[in-house]
Amino acid sequence: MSETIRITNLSKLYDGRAILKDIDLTIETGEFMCIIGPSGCGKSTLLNLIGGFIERDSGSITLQGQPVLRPNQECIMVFQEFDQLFPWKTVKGNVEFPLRNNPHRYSKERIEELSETYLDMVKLKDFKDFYPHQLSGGMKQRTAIARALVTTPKVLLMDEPFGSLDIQTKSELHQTLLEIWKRTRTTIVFVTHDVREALHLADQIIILKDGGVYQRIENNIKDSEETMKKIMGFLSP
Amino acid sequence: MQNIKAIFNKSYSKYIWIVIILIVWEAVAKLTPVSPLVFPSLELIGAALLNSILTGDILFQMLFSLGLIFVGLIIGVVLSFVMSSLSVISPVFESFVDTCISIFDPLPGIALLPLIILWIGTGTKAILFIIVHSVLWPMILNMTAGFKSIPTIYKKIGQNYEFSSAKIIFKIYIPASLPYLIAGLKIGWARAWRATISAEMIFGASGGIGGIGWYIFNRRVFMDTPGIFAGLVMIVFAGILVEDFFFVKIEEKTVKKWGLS
Repeated sequence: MSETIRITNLSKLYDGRAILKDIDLTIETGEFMCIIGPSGCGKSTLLNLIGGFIERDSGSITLQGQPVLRPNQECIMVFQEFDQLFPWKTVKGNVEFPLRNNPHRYSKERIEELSETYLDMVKLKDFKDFYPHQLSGGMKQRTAIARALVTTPKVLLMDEPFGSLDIQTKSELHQTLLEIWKRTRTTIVFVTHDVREALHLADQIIILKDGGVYQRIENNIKDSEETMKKIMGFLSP
Repeated sequence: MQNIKAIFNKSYSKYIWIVIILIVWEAVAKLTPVSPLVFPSLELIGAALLNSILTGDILFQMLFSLGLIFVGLIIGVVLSFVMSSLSVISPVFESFVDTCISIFDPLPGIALLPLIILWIGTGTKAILFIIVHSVLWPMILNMTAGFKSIPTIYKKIGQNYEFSSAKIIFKIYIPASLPYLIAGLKIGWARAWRATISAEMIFGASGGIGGIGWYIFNRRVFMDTPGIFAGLVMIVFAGILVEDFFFVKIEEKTVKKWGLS
């Protein structure tokens, strides 16, 4: 495996206080990495730094050897908020949006083909002509995932995308996400505060604590109670 | 009771009320001892309207006023778009625009008339100036509010796909703030009417047949009360037409369909 993202000595300050300090982290190609930690530990900040949405105070982040200086198409973010979809576009319109307005031009046939493929993947083919306000929360997040994947980015950044969903919908979306990941092998960096979610999805779990990488855990056996206990031990103060 | 409620919930309930108001009007005009010079009956108003349409210039005057409003609105929309976009981008420009709004928004166009006559004269240019003045400031307020209401996530998404600033503005910001833009346009339309009528009444028909404001003013000079009402009917009619067939249609095709209203 080759590395997709390399983070070295990364620090980020807010009002003079270090939120993240001297983070070193490599993310391998095709990895599903979950970042967990108590709230306010800088999980989202780290994700936003990787995506290039905010500026770092020191250190470096590279994506496939290239320094990340600004948001870019190879690293697409999926947010927790349901209003990340554009209400004036249908489900299909939302998924096609990044293709239609892309600096790299896509042909009409290609746009059609790609949007069909990804709508199928998130199981929303029957809802493609719906507007976002007609969708449930889970469907909105499915649409957002399809939109994020449609330009085939190298990395998918997910900021608690299922945080506002009920348990049933959440586990359906977990399954869909895992299926998609197995099919596309996109590198996924997934932030959550739900330890069980991380245990179910990730193959690498990072525990962020006191502004640094506290532990890196290989999650070889999914949903293991033993790992759960171990993580809870790390997280307790 | 339920049936009555259902009737007034419909989109045409406005027309039911109009009919009721007309009936009451006619009853007052016919059954009470008011002078037709003060309170003319519907037939008199109808006759005056028909007469003005057939033998007079009322339709052309109406078109003239509407044309002025149309041009004024376009200038107003373009200017307010430029000014609100700039004030969203630059805090320096924003404070400048805010100051302008504090100064000019409470200033009625009519109060500026003497100055405008002095500076621009009394032609259509002067009327246009007043229209633009009365439309510009409330529309800037609405547009900036609209642009500021856009979720920051949208900007992030635009950046994420490496869109140019122009693309972010036209493909994301404008549709995202459309409810505000439509509301602003409605306010602009109403304000433009007021400005046009008052300016026309004062400037008269310098070079041409003048507008509907000049028509009403003329009727007053001749104590032609039904004629005054005929002019008002034309304005109300145009207002309802634009509201029901322009704004309502736009809203059905956009904000209503998108679940934003």
